[in-house]
This record gives sequence, C-alpha cells and structure tokens, in this order.
Amino acid sequence: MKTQRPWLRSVALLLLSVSAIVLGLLLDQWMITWVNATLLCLSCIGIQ
Amino acid sequence: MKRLFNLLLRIRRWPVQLASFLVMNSYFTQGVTKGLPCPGFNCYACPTAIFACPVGSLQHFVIIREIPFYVLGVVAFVGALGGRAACGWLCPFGFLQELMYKLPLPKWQLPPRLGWLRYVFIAILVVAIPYITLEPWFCKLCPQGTLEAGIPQIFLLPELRALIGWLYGLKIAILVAFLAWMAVSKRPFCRWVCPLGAIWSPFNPVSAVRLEVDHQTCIECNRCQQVCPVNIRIHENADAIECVRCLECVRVCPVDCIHITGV
Ligand code: SF4
Ligand code: SF4
Ligand code: SF4
Repeated sequence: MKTQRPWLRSVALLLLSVSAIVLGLLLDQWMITWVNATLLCLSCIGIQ
Repeated sequence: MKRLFNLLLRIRRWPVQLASFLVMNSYFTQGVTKGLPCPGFNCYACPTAIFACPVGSLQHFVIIREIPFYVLGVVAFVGALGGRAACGWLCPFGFLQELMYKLPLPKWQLPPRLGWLRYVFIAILVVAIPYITLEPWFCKLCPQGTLEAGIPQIFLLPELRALIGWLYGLKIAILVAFLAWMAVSKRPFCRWVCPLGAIWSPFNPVSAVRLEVDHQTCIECNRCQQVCPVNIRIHENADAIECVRCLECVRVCPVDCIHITGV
C-alpha cells in the first residue's frame, strides 16, 4: 500500500542516515576509514 | 522542482560519468578526502583515488568487529536521495561496463531475476569470510581493484613484483572474464555481483527522487527496455530495484509516460 505522505518517509530516511553518520563520527570512524583507505591495500592489488 | 527535473533530462550522462571518474581519481586531495566513502565503486588502492571504496571500508569494519555506522550512513544518505542514481551517473565501474557494451560484438541477454546473487556475495565475501579469516576476501577477487590498483601499482612500485603469485593471476583472470562479459551483456557486474548496488537497490522505491509511470498513456512499445543499461521494463514497475536511475527511458519514451517525481 502506498503511503499518503511519501515525503515524510524520505525525510525520515535522510534523517536516519545523517544520524548514523554523526554516530559514526563520534566513534572516530572517519579516522578509521581514512587510515584504512590510505594504507596500501595489498588484497586489492592481489598480492596478499 | 519540475524545472530541476527537466534540466536533469537535458544533461548528457556520459560527460557526468567521465567527470565523476576524473574527480574520484584526482589525486591531490588524497590526504584530506580519503576518509569519505565515494558514491560509486572506485578502488582506494588506486594511486590516484581521493575517496574510500565503500565495499573495502565495510569489510575493514567487519574485520575490526565494529558496526560501520559512518560508512553505511553515507551510503544510505546517497541511496535515500536518489536510490541507485549514483550507479547510473557517478560510478566509474558502471561507466566502464556501459562503454564495453558499445563494442560491436554479438550480444547475450542475461536471464532476469538473479539479482539476489548480489546478497549472497555480500553475506559470504563482504561479511562472513572477512569476519572469520580477518582478510577482505571481496577485495582479493574484485575486478575493479585489479584494474585500478593491481595493474598500475605493479608498474609504479617495482618492489611489489616479487610478491606476485597465484592470487594475482586469479584476479587478472576474473578481470579479463568480466571485461569480456561486459562487452556482450549489459552491466553484468552491477546486476549479479556488486555489493554496493545491492545496498542501494532497496532505496529505489523509497528515495526522495523516484520515477513514476502513467500506465494509462503507456503503449508498451518497449523502447524503454531497449535503451535501458540494465535491460528492465520500467513500465511494469517504476520502483524496480534494478533501475540505476539513468533516465534514458524518460528521454526516449514516445508518449512521455515516464516521469521523475520527488518529495
Ligand atoms: S578491491 Fe574492490 S572492493 Fe576492495 S577497495 Fe578496491 S574497489 Fe573496493
Ligand atoms: S552496481 Fe554497478 S554502477 Fe552501482 S556501484 Fe556497483 S558497479 Fe557501480
Ligand atoms: S529503467 Fe530507465 S532510468 Fe532505470 S535504468 Fe532503465 S533506462 Fe535507466
């Protein structure tokens, strides 16, 4: 069944994803992501 | 809003895809921007990549046993805005597959409805095996990693050449197989393998920007399916999870029955 107010659903999803981002940032996950992406990934290259 | 959607229809897609590839691999901001997951499948081990690959990052969080709130949040935000629009407009690997399909070779239609295989790849190669082995096994087999990192890094860093073994050979074989497959089938990696596309798929029916079809007007000429990069009949289901929101069907519909709609 289609919801009568689809914009509400979209806004809720956007807010939920922003909350996840903020929570991740508070847990220092930006830095974890940065370090992992910056170190050369030998699996991606295919040698380990 | 309507005016914005009409403007979208006037923008040609390939220059946007090319620009996205160039921006994602623009090198100079690496030191600052590599903590941001990119809206597409672009390897972070590529010498010029400026963003983090979401799939590689997700595996890393599985390995360190942390829930990836930040990476999933960024991916979900992109999905909540436009569903799989990043697949249609921004992803370099999607762009490569469309370019390869333009080669004048005999074509082979993929059987539909095997998209669930992507969730098997997520469960096994992105979550279960990395969790158990502490190694990013999707990366070890990933053809985009071979293309953007495996081949260039071996040229740039001669000291790595001594480490080449069976895994490197396997990765090259997988890449060659996918390149051949892309030349004969529309976006095979996107439709059967890609974990990122699989995560974005469920957002198609609920994203802020969506498609809608006026069934009264549709004459079922199938022009939409002919131009569709993932070969679907959007007139049967405007919320199809396979749709990459490229808008090619909207452009070609002779009776103008496919529309962009939004919040
Ligand atoms: S090897 Fe593939 S999955 Fe891994 S970081 Fe590179 S592009 Fe992403
Ligand atoms: S599904 Fe295709 S276009 Fe989308 S992220 Fe994956 S490779 Fe890129
Ligand atoms: S259904 Fe239309 S918008 Fe969706 S992928 Fe196919 S051509 Fe693109």
